[in-house]
Amino acid sequence: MLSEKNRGEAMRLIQTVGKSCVQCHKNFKLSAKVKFHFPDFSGFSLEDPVTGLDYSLKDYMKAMTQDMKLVRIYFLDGKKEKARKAGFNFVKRFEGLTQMCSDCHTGKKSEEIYFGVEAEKHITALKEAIVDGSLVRINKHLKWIGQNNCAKCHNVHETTYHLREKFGK
Amino acid sequence: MITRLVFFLTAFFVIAGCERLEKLFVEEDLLERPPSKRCADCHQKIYNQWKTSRHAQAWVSEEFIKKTKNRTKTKCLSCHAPLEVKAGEKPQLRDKLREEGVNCFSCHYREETDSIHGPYKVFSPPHYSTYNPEYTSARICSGCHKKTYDNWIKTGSNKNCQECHMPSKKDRLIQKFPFMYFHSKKDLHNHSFLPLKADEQDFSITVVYKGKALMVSVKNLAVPHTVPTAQQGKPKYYLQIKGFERKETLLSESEMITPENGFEYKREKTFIFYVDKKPDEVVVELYRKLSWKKEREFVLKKRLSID
Repeated sequence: MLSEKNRGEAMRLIQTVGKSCVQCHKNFKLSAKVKFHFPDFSGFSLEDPVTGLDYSLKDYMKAMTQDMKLVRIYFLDGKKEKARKAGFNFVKRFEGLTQMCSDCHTGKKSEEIYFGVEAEKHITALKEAIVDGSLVRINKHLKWIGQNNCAKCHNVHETTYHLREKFGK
Repeated sequence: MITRLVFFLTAFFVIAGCERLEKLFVEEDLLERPPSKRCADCHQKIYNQWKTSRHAQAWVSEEFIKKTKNRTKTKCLSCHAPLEVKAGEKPQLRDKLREEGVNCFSCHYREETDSIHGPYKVFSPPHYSTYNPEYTSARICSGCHKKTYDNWIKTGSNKNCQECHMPSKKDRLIQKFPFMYFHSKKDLHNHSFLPLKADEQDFSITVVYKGKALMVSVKNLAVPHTVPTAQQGKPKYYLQIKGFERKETLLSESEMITPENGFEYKREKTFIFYVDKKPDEVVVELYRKLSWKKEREFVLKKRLSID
């Protein structure tokens, strides 16, 4: 129609095709975006720096949060040796999370937010607090990590991840 | 007189017909991005080196296929089968021969000049050639290896990528008889793009015991980028440490080092280990694991005593 310069017929066909785009976007845009544009964490595997084994993301997170809880519990129970072990394991696993950002993020920005100079300072301070056995300082630095790393990353990715799981099914 | 006339006329026609003469020997398929094997007709050595390189595996690597979810992460693809590699630009994905990964034509053919680009001014009858000084600069690698390039820039080092990863030796660019003798020997750069391994001289290691903490500091003395380094892959280093007191083991720990928290050039990285008693001897070992390998490789071992 375009080569024949039949404007009226061309417009009619364009509108027909256009309708099909609009209808698809209207019905499936949200589910398609959630399913195909948000990251799928299910295939991730991370090398665990403590055991040297490959863990699924779920198992890795479980092991790391377990360590975080155990530091406090053991220190409160007076089991300093175990508390230190759990504390250092937490730090190793936390630092090991750097393995996963670059699977999707090709720029350095997002890594710097989570593993930049500030985070490094708190990690070093946390290690020192674990060695000293100072629960107050341990809590202080874990809180900072919780707010600036765990919460931030979860708020960005977790909601859409769960939506994705639902829509995927 | 006639002889002179014939000589001048011949010379005139040769000079005037030079452009045509050049075209006469051009093998046109060479300028249509043929399979890399075609380059091996003359550049046998370079082809053989490239064949063993990770560049040749870029598209078919198992690790790449897995990480890109069967090549569906589109933003990763263009560096694994680039059409034309240009300094500082992310390349476009090519349509043909993707299984060859980063092949000869990715780096050396440019459509804008319809010729083969390289670091030498050469007369090469089978294809047009263009001298391009970009090939002696690290920028040529920066389109794909951006993270490492940015990292290297910050170090201020005057050793570029090619000096370490494409070391050269005097040799001929082509091996086809008898044409190989038409060219003088040049610096032939290794096209296997060596993934070099650091050694004992590249790191300094110190240990200090203070307040029940053993502090192990590692400094990258010689590698002008973070170790390990990668754009997307996951190479790792492992620090293993053992502390002894009169041969009895007091401490046995390990740390995993990723590109994001790697050993930066000339910057000390300190690891803290808790140990109740002061060890009199500490053994520090470094291992590495390349992105595409499953096994760890030994890098260095140092025995250090603590006063």
